[in-house]
Amino acid sequence: MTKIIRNVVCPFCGCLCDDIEVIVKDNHVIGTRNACRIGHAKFVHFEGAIRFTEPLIREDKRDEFKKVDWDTAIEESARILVEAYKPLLYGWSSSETHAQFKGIELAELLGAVIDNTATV
Amino acid sequence: MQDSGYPVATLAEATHRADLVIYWACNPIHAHPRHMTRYPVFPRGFFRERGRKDRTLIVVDPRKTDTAKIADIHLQIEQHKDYELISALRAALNGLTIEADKVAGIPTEVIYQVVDTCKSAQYGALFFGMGITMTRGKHRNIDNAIRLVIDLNRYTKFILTPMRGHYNVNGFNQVASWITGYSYAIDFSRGYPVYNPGETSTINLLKRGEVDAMLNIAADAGAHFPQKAIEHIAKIPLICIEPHKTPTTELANIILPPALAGIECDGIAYRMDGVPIELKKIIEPPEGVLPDREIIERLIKKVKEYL
Ligand code: SF4
Repeated sequence: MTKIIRNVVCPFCGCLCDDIEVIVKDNHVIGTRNACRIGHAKFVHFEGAIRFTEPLIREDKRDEFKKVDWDTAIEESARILVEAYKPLLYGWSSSETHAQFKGIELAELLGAVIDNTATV
Repeated sequence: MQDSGYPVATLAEATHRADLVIYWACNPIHAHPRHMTRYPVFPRGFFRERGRKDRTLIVVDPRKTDTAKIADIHLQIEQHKDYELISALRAALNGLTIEADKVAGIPTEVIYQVVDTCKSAQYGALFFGMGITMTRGKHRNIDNAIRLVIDLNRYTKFILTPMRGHYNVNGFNQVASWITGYSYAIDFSRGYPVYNPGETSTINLLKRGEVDAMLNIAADAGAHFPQKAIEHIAKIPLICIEPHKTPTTELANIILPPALAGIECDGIAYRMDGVPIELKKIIEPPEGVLPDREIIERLIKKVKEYL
């Protein structure tokens, strides 16, 4: 069944256009209206992009990744961050604000550096 | 930005009022394709009934970009000379005589003309791209641009808005500012927030090899950073919260897959002019991924256990 969702906000660039119409069929975005070329590409899953759907882990960066469950992945990540002398939490610019808010809490806990793409 | 604050307005206000629009070091036709068509250039505004015809468009860019091609005035500035040109505009504005024939590749008489255009505008809007911070002078360029806008406000109303790339760069800067007092590059290693770009900023820390683990979320460090910074990332444990395979995930030890905010989960984002907007969830995420905020929450819980 196809449905059209109106007044969607485009999560791609800082314009956050809020007049996008998204056409959804069986839980897939099959088209958009009003979005520009790059905004459209964010909505429709682009060809060739490889999506991760489960946590992956590897000890050595030359090894292949192994699938793990979330608990293990979170434990391992937390261990790395806690054991580090000075961890860096970088990025955040394409995540939504609640995550950014929590990120600052995490940085404070860890005594880490937190920075986003505005950095120069 | 931190030294002088900055005068802002919403995009809607700029659309209704601005009769002079300046794009400095940005190319909206490519990077923000609907910026000009939805906001301050083409649409009719309350006080700008004829749309584009009621507005003067100035573009400052070393290249002849598609945006520059439709400008009324294109200042084809020499690369890395943003600071010089801003200073020259301020000098002209403050009644000083510029003795050089050209500044930053722009003839002095054009500089005086531009200053006159700015002074006689009823409402000016300066949009600057992050390109301005990548040239020599870095964040000092923005400080200087802010001072230019402050100077211009002695003659007319002038506002300034950074053209944000990623959709929620501004969100991070806003949240960080109200929690820590600083908008980015915040170092908590002394137990309280310290901000000093050049010292506490990502690229410098990586180049000097000062950090010994990294969490990369919602940005592609591996694709945009200088070689030397990437070499250091390759040496330290890297955790990526990233939905797709990217140059950064190639360097990761752990990949935590998130749902896409605004498509597969809801959330809030701050538009470039500082207006917070609610993102919608339109489809279900793939099984096995979590929203960013939930991943961070779970990390916080574990970190508290280990500390
Ligand atoms: S539709 Fe285009 S201009 Fe609007 S937010 Fe999306 S990417 Fe930006």
